[in-house]
Amino acid sequence: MNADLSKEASLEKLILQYLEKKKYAQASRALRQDSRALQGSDMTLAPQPDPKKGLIQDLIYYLTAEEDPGQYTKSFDRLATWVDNSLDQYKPELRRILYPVFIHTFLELVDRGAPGEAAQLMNRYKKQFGDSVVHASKMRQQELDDLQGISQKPQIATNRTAQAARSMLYPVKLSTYSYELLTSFMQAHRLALTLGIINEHVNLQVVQGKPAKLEHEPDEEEVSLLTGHMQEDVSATNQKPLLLGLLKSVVEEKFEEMQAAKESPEIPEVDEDGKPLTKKARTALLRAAEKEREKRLSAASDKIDPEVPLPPMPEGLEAELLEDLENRVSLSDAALPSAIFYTFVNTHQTLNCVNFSSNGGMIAGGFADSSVRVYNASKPAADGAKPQRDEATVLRGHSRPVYGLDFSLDSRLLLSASGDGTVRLWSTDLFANLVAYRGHTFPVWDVAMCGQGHYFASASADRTSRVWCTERAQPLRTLVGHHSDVSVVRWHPNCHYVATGSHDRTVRLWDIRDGRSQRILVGHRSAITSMEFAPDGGTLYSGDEDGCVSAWDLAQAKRLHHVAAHSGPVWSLAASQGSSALLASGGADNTLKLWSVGGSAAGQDGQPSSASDLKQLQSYPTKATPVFAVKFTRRNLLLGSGALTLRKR
Amino acid sequence: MSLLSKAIVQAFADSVAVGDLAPEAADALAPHLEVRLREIIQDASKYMRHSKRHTLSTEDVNSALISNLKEPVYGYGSKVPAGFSTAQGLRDTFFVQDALCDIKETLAQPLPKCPVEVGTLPHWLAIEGKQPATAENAVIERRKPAAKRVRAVAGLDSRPDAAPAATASGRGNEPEERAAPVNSVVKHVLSQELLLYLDRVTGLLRGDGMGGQHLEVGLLTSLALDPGLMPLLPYLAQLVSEEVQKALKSLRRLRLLLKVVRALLQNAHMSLEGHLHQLIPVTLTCLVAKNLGGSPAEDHWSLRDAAAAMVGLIIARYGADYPDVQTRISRQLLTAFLDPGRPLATHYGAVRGLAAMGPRVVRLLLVPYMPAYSGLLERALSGGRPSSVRRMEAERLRSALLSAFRLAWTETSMAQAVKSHS
Repeated sequence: MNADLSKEASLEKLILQYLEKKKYAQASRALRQDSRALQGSDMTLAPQPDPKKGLIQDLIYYLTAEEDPGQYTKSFDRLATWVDNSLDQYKPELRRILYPVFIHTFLELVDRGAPGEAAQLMNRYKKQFGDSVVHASKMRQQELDDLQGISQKPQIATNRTAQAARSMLYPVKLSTYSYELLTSFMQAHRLALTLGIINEHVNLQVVQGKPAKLEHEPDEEEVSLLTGHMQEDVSATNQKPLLLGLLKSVVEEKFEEMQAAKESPEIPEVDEDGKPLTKKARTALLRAAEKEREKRLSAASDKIDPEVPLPPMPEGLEAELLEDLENRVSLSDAALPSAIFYTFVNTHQTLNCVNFSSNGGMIAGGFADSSVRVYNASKPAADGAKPQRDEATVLRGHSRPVYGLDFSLDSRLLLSASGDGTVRLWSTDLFANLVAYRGHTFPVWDVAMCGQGHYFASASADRTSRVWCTERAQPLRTLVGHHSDVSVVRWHPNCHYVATGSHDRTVRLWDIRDGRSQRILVGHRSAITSMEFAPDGGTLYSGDEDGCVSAWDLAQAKRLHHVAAHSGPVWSLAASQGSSALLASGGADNTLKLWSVGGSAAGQDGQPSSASDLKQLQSYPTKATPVFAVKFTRRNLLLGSGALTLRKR
Repeated sequence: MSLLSKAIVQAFADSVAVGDLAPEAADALAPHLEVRLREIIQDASKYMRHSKRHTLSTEDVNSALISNLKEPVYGYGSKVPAGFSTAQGLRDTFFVQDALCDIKETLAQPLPKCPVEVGTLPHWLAIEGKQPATAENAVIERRKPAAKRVRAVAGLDSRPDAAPAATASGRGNEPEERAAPVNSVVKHVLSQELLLYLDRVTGLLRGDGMGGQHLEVGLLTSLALDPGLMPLLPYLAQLVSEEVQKALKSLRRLRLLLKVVRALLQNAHMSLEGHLHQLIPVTLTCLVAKNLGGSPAEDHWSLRDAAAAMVGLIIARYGADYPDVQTRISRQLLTAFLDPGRPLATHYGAVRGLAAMGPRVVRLLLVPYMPAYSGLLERALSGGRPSSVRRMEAERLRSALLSAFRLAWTETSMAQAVKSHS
């Protein structure tokens, strides 16, 4: 509605200009009269013409603007000064209008061939808008950086941010009184150009009640030009149904059976004090046991059959998994895990990434000198004296730095992603390269092996993510949609979905069956640096460059929590195995933190887990080691790693 | 227009031998150049981020150039930052200063050492949720209760004199302090390693002459540096204060005990606040005890000197947080000094201790009593045989007094002070 009105208003302006130019005075007056009736509705801000002389005055503005782009700068300056001098009570609210107006004034100036003026304007106001103290995120800073590069008209068409800005209506909320203040100011000073911009590009929402105290309210989503650009796309995508159940697993079923076999026979004849049980008590016990079994069955029936072809389980792995399941420590807020930290020394800042095998037996590091080093962590200290440095096995094959690593489930295969655009598959039995997968034309930032093996996904700077199977040299799917580099990729536990996190601040969930985007999760204020699925498959955690961690409900496509976790990028996230009780995060601020997720207890009662909070349980600082990777082993031992980084002075 | 000026473009055109570049052409090129530069910088920062670094390196810029299908810039791979300097006469032109190297000299030099191989060092970051206090782990700040205590102390300090007056604030604070141990009746559990450590320390401090020099040195360094000893502190403090009573006859053991106290004081990871009441008496014993060592002829003086230095150390470290530490110690020392029944060695210790607290203390506490005390000193100096122990002690005492005063005054101010007091 609002958009229509403002469009109409600007259309009228054009007609008026034309009529006035051609000296059709009568016609233009008639149109004025007409349009006044139209503009009477409260949402548009077009000038209320004074029937006697206002008309001519207005038109003079429109026409002079065409000849002298400097008018744009002047009117923006006046608006900025006015906002600055307004009463403190309304200032924060009125300031909201400045940013969109500023961006469009800038673009308008470039568009009209006055790049000098535009650059001046940018220089004068950039600091004020990009001040990270006020906004707590670098989003605006980045947007302004992006725009600053524009100095010629054709560049507007190629600049992503500029295009996004032009194609969206920037939402601004104002209280009634602030709105009136703004209207009367505009009219009194006849800032027709600014008014034009507001009508054309800003979606003014008038809110009843007191004026807001802050320019950016903390609970409000900060409007981003880029994500706003995709808004409609997002809501349509996010309504698609998902198949989030876990896969039926032979191993777990066997384990359950074993547990059940252990538990079921004992319906005791006597209670703890040795007295014989009454009939009532016995039936109660029986009933409880029955219920337990039912619950287990129903949990099993929630599980789904795979709809993608999956390989058989490798020999010998089943026994290992069973043993791990048996020895798994169950973790909760009260029972915290033990953690081993592997510090890489003498790396001289060449370590790019670290990953662990899922039983914790091997550590692999990807280095800037294109090598991959694999360390054997489980090797017992031979002489028992000094568990010092291990010999590394160096894998060479890449021709550019290695940025991503992942082990297969049975730890016999290792994948590495590199700046040379290839993904390589290594055997950890032979320590030799098996395959090089070529497909990406730009650096591959991350690679992830599917939980069941056979498939893997890669994320690249060419803005795509690709799904491969280890047997073929060509990708099976190419996932296209991100607006910038794809930095992280993770597999959903049921192997039907892949989540990707990108430099464009969004997370997407893709169905690998058809390669379409199923969810677009918008809300991060900086580039995504890490992701992790909860083991139950319903929640996705993502960390960003500002140090925030978000938890997303995938089915409803909404954000459950958002916490500022670290004071630097969150390099890694890990969820504990089994019932997902804990989340571990590793950050560039030299700490490893443990978070209580608390979803499991609430989930059992069938209630949404949104009530529980992501609250910090523990923070383990390291001496001077940013935490590059964290991982829970299958037995719930927490592993962390990073490269010792001493700051040079 | 753009961030880059015409002159830069022209200078660059010169450097790649593109003859004369018309100013209009330079003007038109500048914005395009800027866009390209921004692109490269943006890409380079991505490479930096994926290498998990916070400083942009030349390698990142080269990677960005390569991914844009451009020739990388060679010759800047060194980790040493390049020093840019301005060209003479051209303010906008920069170049890297390259020192001339003599190739023969370079070849003649021995090969540089091989860089150390990358390795991993595992350690326990947490054991069942708790971070163990090992040398690999960062020290967690445990000075949190300080704010509360300082307030309490400030409350005590605001009283006009040091005598314990039952003001409202004083009464308010006392039950709080008394309540503290009641809250912490949790059993104190020591790990196996710490128990072993404590056993060794106890053996070393009790056993006379056992273990030898290197063990003592090892113990003292460990006490002064190790971060994880905090749980042992109560035991150590108890041990030291018990041992001091038994070791009065052995100067060697006393010295060791004093060194232990000093090592504890030096350890940055210890907070001794709760145990000062045990450690200060140990120090004062070594300072003003009647008899130290087997016979008065032994060199107990150096021990007293060391103890005096320790008093200074304690006050330097805890004097600011607990202003009453200094007043208490100085009161004790002063009573020891003013008691004519005590031996001169005690007086000597008291004087040294007071002197260690600084010139102000000497001026305020020692000087007013000098006229009265000088008589006693004179008598000791003149009485008895010149070689008698008492005469020697008196000599020592006099030199201690003199050095205290010398520290405290320039001559003129000393004269003034003597005048005003006599």
